[in-house]
Amino acid sequence: MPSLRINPLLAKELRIRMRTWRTFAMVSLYLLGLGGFALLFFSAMFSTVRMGYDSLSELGRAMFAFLAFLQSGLVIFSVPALLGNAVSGERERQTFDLLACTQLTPWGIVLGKLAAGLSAVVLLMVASLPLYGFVFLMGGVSPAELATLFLAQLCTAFFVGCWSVMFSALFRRTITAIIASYALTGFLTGGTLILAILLSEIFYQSGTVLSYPLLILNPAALLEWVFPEEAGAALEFFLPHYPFVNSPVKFWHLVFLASSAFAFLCLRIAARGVNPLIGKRKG
Amino acid sequence: MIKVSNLTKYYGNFAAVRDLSFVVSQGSIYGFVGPNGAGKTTTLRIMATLLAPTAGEVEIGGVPVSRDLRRTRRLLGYMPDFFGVYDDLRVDEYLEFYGEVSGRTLAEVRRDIPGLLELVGLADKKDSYVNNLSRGMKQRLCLARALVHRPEVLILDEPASGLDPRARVEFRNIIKELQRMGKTIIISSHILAELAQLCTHVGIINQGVLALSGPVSDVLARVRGEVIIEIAVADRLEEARLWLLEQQGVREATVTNSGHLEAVFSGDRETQARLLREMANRFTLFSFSPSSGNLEQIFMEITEVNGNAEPEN
Repeated sequence: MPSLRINPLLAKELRIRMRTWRTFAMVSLYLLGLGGFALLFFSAMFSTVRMGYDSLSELGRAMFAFLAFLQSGLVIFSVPALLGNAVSGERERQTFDLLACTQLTPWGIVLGKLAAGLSAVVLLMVASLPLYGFVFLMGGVSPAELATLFLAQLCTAFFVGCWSVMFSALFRRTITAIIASYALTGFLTGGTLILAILLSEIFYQSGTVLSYPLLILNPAALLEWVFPEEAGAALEFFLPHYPFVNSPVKFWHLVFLASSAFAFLCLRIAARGVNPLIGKRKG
Repeated sequence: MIKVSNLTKYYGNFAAVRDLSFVVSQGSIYGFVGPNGAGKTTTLRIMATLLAPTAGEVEIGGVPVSRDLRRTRRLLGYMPDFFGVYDDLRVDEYLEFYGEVSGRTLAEVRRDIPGLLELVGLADKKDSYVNNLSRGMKQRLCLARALVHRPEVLILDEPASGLDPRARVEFRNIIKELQRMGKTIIISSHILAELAQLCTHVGIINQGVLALSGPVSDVLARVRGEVIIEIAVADRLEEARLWLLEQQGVREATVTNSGHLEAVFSGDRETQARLLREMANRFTLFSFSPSSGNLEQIFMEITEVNGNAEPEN
């Protein structure tokens, strides 16, 4: 029977990552932050249940949505920090040459590093499961919705991870790579949303034509996958004339396809960046 | 085994290496000598598939490096002049990792690790964390890493730099052992006396141009037309010195501070061999070898003629 062989680069990264106190501190802080906000939200909203305005399952659903948005934000925020040093860190540690002259291909290095960074995101997501278990006690959310949420967040982390690895491969210094990753993440997540809203305000009738293409690479747009009604309503509120109301194709489908293409492009650039026989590093 | 043909590398307008050609035969130790910025590291990095040449080619085992990178990397073990380690790994994990990414299975690497660590003198450090090793131990670990996929060729860029004298001697012994194992070794170093003792062949590079290349004794003879031979005689030192001075081809014979005889000899290798055979019949000899000071003198002469080179990239 063939044995299951894990990418040695991923195995090494996991081993090193799990040995340091930083991982423990990162998971602890993450859970403290997420749990703290969830508790505040629960305390604030529970009064509506006591007064009979909302049922417990409605509170459960509201809390699920709150946790989902908060966690998606944290995932988007943490990936550049986790992957911004993927290749530049090897260069700074002077271990890159040793890696580059092995049998690992440039794609092998890039994908191994990406998988290692994403595994840390998966760890954070798995660690947050007990919080979602609390939501299940109240009802209003199905396990399938939770699975969809985790899948959407993993895709989001993958897309952000791809350009973070790209910058890490292109820039010699980790700090430059992380700043570039955060800049692009910030622009695609918040910047495009602000621009889209401004455009739809300025050009009310034709704004949608300009606004939605702007959001085509917005990693947060994948939340429409998990909350089709709520996200659709939010989009309609901020950007009138939502063009996918009665369409089987939703906006997140297009975002997913465009982001996948962009992620592939980023990985291709990253693979060129780690190929020692091509080009020179910047920064 | 290794053939470098017309190798050229430009960084912008600066020629780091120009039209470099030399051959390294199987099982030899080739010393690559030159001042800082002469192009040694650039040449070695091209050979190690870490840099693309502007022109020219490197062949290993008859196949151009650029044609089959995977095969070349399987044949090569490379130790750079500056390198880092993964501090949070244990010594055995470190070697397992590099063994696996070099195309071997974990089981194969695990089988080889005890022997490798024995070879580099780290057998008792198998379970130690890499960050607990001294500088010299890390150098030896890096050498073990370069050997973990059983390469036929070793490229060592200043492998003994920063080591104390004891560690240097230990390192030299390891390299000699590797040669006995049939490895072909290219080694760059600033410590010329050490290279002279270690290498079978030498190449002197200056300002990106190979000034000289060949067997150590040939290089010495080619430059000076004569070689300095260091002879350790058991007794009757003065008598031996006077006898040497009477021999054909011996221009000078002196006693060194260490109590050895140093003879300046001009002539072909057969005459040199006959002289030493005759001397061995008359006197009790411990050893005779080309003096390590020769290479330093030649190096100084060549690099002085051409001036100082640009800083190395």
